[in-house]
Amino acid sequence: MTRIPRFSLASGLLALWMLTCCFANLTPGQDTSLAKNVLFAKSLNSLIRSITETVLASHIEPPTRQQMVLSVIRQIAVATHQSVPLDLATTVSNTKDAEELYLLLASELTKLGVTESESAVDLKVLEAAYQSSLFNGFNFIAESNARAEEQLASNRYVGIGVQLSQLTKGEGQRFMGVIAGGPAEEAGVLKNDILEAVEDKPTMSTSLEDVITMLRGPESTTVTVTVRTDTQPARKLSIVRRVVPIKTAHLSDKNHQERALLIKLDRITASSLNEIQKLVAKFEEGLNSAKTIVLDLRKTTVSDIHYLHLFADGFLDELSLGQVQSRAGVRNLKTEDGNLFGDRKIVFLVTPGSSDEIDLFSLAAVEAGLKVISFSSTEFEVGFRPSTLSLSRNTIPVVGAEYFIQLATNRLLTRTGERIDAKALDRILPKLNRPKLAEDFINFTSELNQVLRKLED
Amino acid sequence: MGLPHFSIPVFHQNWLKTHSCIGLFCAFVLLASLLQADDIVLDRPVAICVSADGEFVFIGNQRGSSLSVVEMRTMESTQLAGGWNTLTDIAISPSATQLLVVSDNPPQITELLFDSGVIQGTNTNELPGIPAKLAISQGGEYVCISMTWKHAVFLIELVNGKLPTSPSGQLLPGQLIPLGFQPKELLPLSEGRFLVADAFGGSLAVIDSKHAKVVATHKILGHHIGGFARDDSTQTIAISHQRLSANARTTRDDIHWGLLMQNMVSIFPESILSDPTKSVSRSAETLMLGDLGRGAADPSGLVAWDGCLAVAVSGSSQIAYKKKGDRNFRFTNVEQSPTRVVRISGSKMMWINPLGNTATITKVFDEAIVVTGSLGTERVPATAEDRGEAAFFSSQLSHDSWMSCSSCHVDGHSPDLLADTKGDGRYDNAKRIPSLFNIANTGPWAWDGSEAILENQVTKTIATSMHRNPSSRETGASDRSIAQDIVAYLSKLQYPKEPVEETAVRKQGQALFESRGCATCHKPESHFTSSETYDVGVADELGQTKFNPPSLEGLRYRRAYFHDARYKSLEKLIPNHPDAKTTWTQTELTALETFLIAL
Repeated sequence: MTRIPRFSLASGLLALWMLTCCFANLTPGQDTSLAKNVLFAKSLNSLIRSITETVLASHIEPPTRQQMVLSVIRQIAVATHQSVPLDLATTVSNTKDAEELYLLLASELTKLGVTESESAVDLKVLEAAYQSSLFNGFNFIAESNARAEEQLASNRYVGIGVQLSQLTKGEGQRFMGVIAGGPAEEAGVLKNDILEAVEDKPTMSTSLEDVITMLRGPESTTVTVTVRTDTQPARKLSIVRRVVPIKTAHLSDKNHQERALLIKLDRITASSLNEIQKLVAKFEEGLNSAKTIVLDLRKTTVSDIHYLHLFADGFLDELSLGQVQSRAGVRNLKTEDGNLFGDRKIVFLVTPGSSDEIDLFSLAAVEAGLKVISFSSTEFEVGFRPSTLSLSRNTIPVVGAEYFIQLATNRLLTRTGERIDAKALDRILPKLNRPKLAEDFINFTSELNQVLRKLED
Repeated sequence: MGLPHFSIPVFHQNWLKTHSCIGLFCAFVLLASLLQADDIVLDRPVAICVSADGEFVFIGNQRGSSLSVVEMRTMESTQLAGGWNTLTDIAISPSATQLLVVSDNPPQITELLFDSGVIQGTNTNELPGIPAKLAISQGGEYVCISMTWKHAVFLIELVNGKLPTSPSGQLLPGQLIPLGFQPKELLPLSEGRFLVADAFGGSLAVIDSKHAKVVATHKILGHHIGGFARDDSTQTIAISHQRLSANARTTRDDIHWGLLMQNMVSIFPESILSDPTKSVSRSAETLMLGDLGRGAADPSGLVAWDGCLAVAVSGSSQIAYKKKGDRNFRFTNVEQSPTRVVRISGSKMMWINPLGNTATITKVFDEAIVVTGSLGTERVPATAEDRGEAAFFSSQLSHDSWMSCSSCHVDGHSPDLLADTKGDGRYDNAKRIPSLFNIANTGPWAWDGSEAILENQVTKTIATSMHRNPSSRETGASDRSIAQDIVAYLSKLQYPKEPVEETAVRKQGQALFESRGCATCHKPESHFTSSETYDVGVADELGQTKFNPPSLEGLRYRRAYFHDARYKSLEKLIPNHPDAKTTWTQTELTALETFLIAL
């Protein structure tokens, strides 16, 4: 049975990585870069303390302080090919308070030889240590990457608006895409140009992720790039970084022949409703009337539960989408009275199992009386489900460090307050099942059928 | 329309020169003087109406206590000083034989009667409450006056096109029709009916004048209704309003993408209003005024004709226009804060700008609104209070002009909606928007009482709830100096004083208020609040249980209670108040309620 790539912390990061590959300023492989960041021993003790205390203060179900410290000591021992005392677990659990525990940690780090020499501990080692003691995962994320993630969720991405790919080693990078109207295009960067240097530093032998880090920077700052085509000499261009809105909703090019408006969504972000409203308004200029709006959510990712909530608010009339459990308690995600699209017929296309957030949304949409048509997919098959599937990916700064940790600080629950696990979803999914699809198809207008068939093609 | 040709030579300058001296105005008791003005003087113009033939425009000046009359053909103007204290609205009858003026202090209505364009007489009568807006029915048989603070409209049946006779200065005969909301805007419908809009929330009511009753109620999806317009060609009604999301946060991003505050026009067929199976909220087509980089805060007065629509965007001092078939608006910058508009003829319109003391004449040219003239001299606010008022109603304080202070605290009061403002340091914790009336006396501020200085609270709101654009900060005054001005303005905002009858029941309620411990937190000597926070056993979304008690003054003007607006009436609130540890008999409840609503 095919396993479904679920939206957990790990796969969330994977999705981010894939997405960032498309945009130069969002660093793919940021974790790898981070791993190169070697932590020198003198800061190690305070760093571990800072991370541990942050986890305790923020995680939805934190392990004990002792569990985390024990795990860290063990992981460092393994990484440095040393053994730990057999009674370490007992010693750790016997510590009376935090101060005593951190004194013990310092002493164990000294014993392992990682505090006095130039020997170092890779961030990956710490990550693995916390990963093993933390339910639902743990990730280091560079501050710049955390910011990029936030920018993506709110569709306020700051950059130069290019897609880069790595050429064969030593040959630099190629601009695979230049966003229309973006800063790079305005400065004269062309698709398929080859990047030779950033700020006069040659990039021929630089890794893609390092180049991306070089291109990235705060809004309104300038970066100078040297580019060339395959045949023409190099040009030096100054580009001012700014907000580059990324289109997340796309109109099918077949729409002009149809009465039903078909919109495909890549991601649900802060901009989604605005983008959809604009597409509808544009379509309806003149005599067109979008009596039916079909929203294709089959490959849609959700950037943040908050924006899923506001997205749902645009369609669902006074319903509960689900609940969010955080350390402060359980909060109901209710939608407000009314929807933004009047009496137009709204149809959602979904693939059950492709995203928990979309599954929950689909269920609420069915309850609201909207049409939800589910598609099977060869890529996704209902079967394996981890016990807890969906988490709000919160990034929390580690005190005094240049990076954030990404933690399960929220949990998305069903409307009845159950965790989204196999049992809960089994109850949800039959409501979106295929037998209904046939009925839906019969009930629909022929125009919509055409749209759907084209979509299937 | 088959209306008689309208002309008011009485207002014509030359006519005045000829006739005023021969004493035709001896019957003109109330009007102190008739002035002719080479240059029109507008002083807080709040009301505007136009004769059916479009020849004369009348502008009501609130501070100037006067009417400005403009003859459109010659653009000559006349000032009519009437001594109205706080003029609130004016209206002209369809036959142009009657001009009505309503004013406050004391609440009254003045009737100017014309015959062949000459003022034949005036009479003034008392009204049973403070008038907000005024409308005359399409056939000229009824007058409807909205009384915001009385939760009612006052309906008057005209007798031969005149106000019914009553001894001068006496209460005018009419019907006070109670509503479940505080009314403001009015629109005459067919068959003598009126459409009435909520001054703060999104309620609508249809008044049947013949039977003097409410025949239908509706809701729009939103609040802060700025104006009505009827498009005769499509028989549709357009309403300008805002919509605030309680689920969105007051972050820059949620504001930026129009998720927090939307500024819009809802359009629906007039026939829906009397169809019990249809609801306005479900049937209305919405047109968004705001867009990225241009929020279009506080849409107000509007006109609709032949599928075209022109809207005063008062917060951002613009006029939005769309032609038939369009869904997108084109914007024209105008003088400060246009609020109301009349269509004179064709696409020629006149707008009033109360805060700028001007009126603007526009025409549609090449699919956009073009300013073709201006009346009055724009005055820069001189006092801190006036500067504060201008700032309060300006969207310049918010990111991309999506809102002004008045978008949430409508006209200084509140629609009692929820807003997630991070007021106590965290989001996902939306709280009821407080009224700002009497706010200067009811510190400390914020729900958790964490702010002891009102100016700090306002400064914080500008920065963290409204997200004023950095560019405005660079070129304009600092947040703090604006906040100082706003505080000067807020200090003047008071609940209207409606007379309260001292009854035995009310006294019993007062005794209960004191004996049952209400006065411990809601201290009468401190405007029925106190500076402490109390755990009343009610938690907010994030588990916070300590709140600063809100002042109980003006309680009758609120439509929801508690931090999360969980109770919609005092009747429901009192027995459920977590700190009212006693059971209440119905008599006691009534007594306490009687006491509370008179505060």
